[in-house]
Amino acid sequence: MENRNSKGPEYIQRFSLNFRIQHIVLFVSTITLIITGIPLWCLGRPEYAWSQSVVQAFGTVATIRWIHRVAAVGLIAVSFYHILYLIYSREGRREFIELLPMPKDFVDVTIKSLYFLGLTKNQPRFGRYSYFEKFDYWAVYWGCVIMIGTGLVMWFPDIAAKYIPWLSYELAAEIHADEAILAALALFVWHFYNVHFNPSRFPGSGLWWHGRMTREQMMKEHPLEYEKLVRK
Amino acid sequence: MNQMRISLGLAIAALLLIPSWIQAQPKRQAPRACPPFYLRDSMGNEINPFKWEQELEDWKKMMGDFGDGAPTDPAVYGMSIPPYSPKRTCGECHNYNKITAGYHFRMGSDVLHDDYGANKDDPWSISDGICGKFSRMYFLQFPRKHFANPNQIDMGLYTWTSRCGTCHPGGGPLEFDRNGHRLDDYDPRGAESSDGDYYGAHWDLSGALEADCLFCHLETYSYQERYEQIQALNFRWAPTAGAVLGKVNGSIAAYLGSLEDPQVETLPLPTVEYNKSLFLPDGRVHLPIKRPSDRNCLLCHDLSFTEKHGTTFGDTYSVDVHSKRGIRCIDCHPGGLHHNFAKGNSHELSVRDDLDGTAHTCEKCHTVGHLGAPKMVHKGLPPIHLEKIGCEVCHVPTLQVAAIGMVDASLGRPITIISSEGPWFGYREEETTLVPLRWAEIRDVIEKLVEEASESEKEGLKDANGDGLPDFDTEEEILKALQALYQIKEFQERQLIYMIKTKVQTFATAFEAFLVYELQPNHTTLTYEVFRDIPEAPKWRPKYGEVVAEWRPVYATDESGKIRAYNNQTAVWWGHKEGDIIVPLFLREISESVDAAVAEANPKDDDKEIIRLHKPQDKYMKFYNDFLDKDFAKDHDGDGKREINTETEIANFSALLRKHLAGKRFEKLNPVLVSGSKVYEAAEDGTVKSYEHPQAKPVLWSVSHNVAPRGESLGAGDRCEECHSPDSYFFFGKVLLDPYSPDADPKPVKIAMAQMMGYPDARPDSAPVIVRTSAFFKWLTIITMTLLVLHIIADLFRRTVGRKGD
Repeated sequence: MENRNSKGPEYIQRFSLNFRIQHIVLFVSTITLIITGIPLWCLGRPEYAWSQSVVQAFGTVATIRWIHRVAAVGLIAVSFYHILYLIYSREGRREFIELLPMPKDFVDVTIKSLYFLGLTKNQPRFGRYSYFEKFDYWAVYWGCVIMIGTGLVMWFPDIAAKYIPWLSYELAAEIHADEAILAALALFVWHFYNVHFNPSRFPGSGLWWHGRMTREQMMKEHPLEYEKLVRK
Repeated sequence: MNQMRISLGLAIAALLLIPSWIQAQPKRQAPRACPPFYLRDSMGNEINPFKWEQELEDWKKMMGDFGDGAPTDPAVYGMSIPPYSPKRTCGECHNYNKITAGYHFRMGSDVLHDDYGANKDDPWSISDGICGKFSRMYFLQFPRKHFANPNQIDMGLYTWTSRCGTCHPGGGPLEFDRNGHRLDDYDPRGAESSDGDYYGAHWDLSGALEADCLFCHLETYSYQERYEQIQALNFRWAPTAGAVLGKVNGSIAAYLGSLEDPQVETLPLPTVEYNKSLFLPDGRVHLPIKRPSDRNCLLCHDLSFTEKHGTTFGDTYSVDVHSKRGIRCIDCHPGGLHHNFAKGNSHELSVRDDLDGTAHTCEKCHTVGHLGAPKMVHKGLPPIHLEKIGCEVCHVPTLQVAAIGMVDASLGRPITIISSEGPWFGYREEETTLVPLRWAEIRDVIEKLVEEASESEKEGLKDANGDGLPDFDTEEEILKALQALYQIKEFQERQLIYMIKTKVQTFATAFEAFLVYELQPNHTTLTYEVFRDIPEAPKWRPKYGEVVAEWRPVYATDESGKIRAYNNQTAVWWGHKEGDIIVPLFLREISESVDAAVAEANPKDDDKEIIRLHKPQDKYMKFYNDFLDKDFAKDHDGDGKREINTETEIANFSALLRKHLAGKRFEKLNPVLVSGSKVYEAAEDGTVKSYEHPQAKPVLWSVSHNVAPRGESLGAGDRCEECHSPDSYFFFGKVLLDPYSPDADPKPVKIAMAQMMGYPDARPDSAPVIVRTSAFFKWLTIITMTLLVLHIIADLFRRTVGRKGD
């Protein structure tokens, strides 16, 4: 497949297997959490009592809750692993540095905005991660901290009541639900647009599976990284 | 060799020890059966029906032999087989006096004293139990010993016994007067007596009501038989009939009636016909007398219908898990010879409060696993729940027994049912009369209903009782039929009902009763009332509302701040305000005042006569209804039941009571209407003011039985959101506070459960930190998503339409 020629490889290996597996575990658990989270949120809200009949088709609330918790374990595991990955692997450390917000990102946002407004014809030139990819990453970071924290409070209310009494069950439930709505919207609207519905990507690329990007695409979307790779 | 010797010696020693070891074992006592015994009459004489029969025959023969034409029937001479006396019969071996000193018999009568309540919050009370307190359920009161005139008491002890004596097992105050004289042995001055124990009484005829041992100790005891005897004023005969030892013919009530009416021949006194198959040839009886079974307890404690207190015990639909596993009432409420059974702690009742909490508590068995009880774990439940909430709150989530949510004694409600032959569809006419609809009127609708029913529904509607009509015998069928009937135009303005005469089967007993079903104004829920007997004359009794077949307890904090489960009963009643205290008026006083006012408003002599005789003639009912409609108690909310709620009504009714009750029990009546959480006081000039008062509060009946299986308890299976969610029943379920608002379109006023528990701000979305958090996330979401969506739109625009601009 790798058709080596003077211009460099046709495909560029952008993400390692390790990184891809992390992403797969993350999205499988997140989507499961969203689907199972909706009926759990409807519990105790009589105006959404109909949701219970939908639940009945798949089992009891206990089953749904069990699935939600299994998925939660997946999310917690991948988050925990990711932190170890960032600290202990060379690759992880490098990725982390690449993902840190830089002044250039703000410049890029400005250029892009001007471009959108038709005030400039220049597009910002991105390195390994564009500002919106960095945004995705840090949004997930923030989301995981909040969702896992408040989720654990509801899962183990006795321990939470003992050690963090200020974070009541109701407050945790409120934050959990509010952040879930934000995260789900960002995921299905923003992230899905960028990777699926965007005309240049529709219906999606296999990047998440094989981790490769074509040279053309690379030159277009991550020119700085491409140039860096070619220079090597 | 030595070893063998030692072993042999030890073996012999062991063998020798066996008999002494066996002896050391505590002797297991087989439950001692009651040996055959003679029934004894009140004089202690043996009752041998075979001998008695012979003696009566001999007497007859002897009288015939005289040939002087005198009647030969021994009954004419007052000769008949006597009823048995539990005191003499059981008291032969058991200590009757010690047993009947227990609170189950005394119900406060051991402290009865006319001045008992003098310095208390309830100065009208004359004891700490039902025998002396004012019943907030029935609005009845046990009489004082001394009174200057009969207006000062609700009723005499004799009448009280006839109304309450079916459940009150006799003995104590129903056997002895307050000076210790046996009621039927002592000065029966009767109607003229100014002694509460003897006022209006015929104890000499009815006999005192002795403690009926077999009521509790004979599993096959018949509550219905006892009820009929008590109603007939046959107090002396009730134990014989209740134990079904024989059949009692005749009634003291009928006898007294025949004495009053010179036109009628005097009826004979009751006689007993013993069931001889129960007697051994020597005249003794052998009965399976045992410790009380659950059925015996539930004979009285199960009657949670509209006529009994609101607590529930025998729920046949959701049976208590303990009962299911064979634990009996007496296992947790043990007693002894003294018959002071171990008690729980009922919030509303106060008899023998010193014995509160003597019954086995949940903790007693479930912390140590006593007798295999599952040890409580409550894994994952923050401990504050166990500190702040009583066990029953989570473990008795729903009850399937009808209970009363509102008792309105502001206006007793006479009810007349035109035809008692049920079942039939009908309507309420003028509120107080139930009239059947003719078959021709409803035929089309009912036939269509049956036609359109599914196969399984048709099966249910099949005519099994052979009256030629489909059988509507489940609540679902009745609901559907009533809803269908409301589709008929001319019925829409009527209050439709369904009347069914049925055998009401409770856990313990069965009795014939009339169930009257009605639709709530929303036409989606069915309620019903139970009538034990169809009164021939309008019968005054409180109006019971919010009767539901399935309900969830109300949660409120008790004195110690712990949340407990209750049946919340809102009360509406008239009182007389004396200083800071409101003395409840008797229902009798209100009915008499209304009757007098109706008579006054209709001065024609013949009508007056009708009214005086209290006959249910249409004329009286018309006067009555017309009178009350004139700003006294109009049915404003259209539920078919009158209510006193507007200021004009309160003022008018106050004036009516003031006028007709002046100089009777109170020199000058100062009437106030207690309605739910408020007191309404009308001054003589007609201005009404309302205020809060410590006596204006709901009646809270403790709920402690009907424990559900573990999986059905509140929050089981980590369902925290069952309580901790914005609309949870636990915090925000609606509790009836005031049955009617004081306007022309009265609506019930309800409050959130959290307020009952003393947490006015418990709503999660009202807590400041949650409000701020929610607002933060709301704006975060709006801003973020707006930016992201703008980015997407701009990107799409640039990629497609705006491309040319590049």
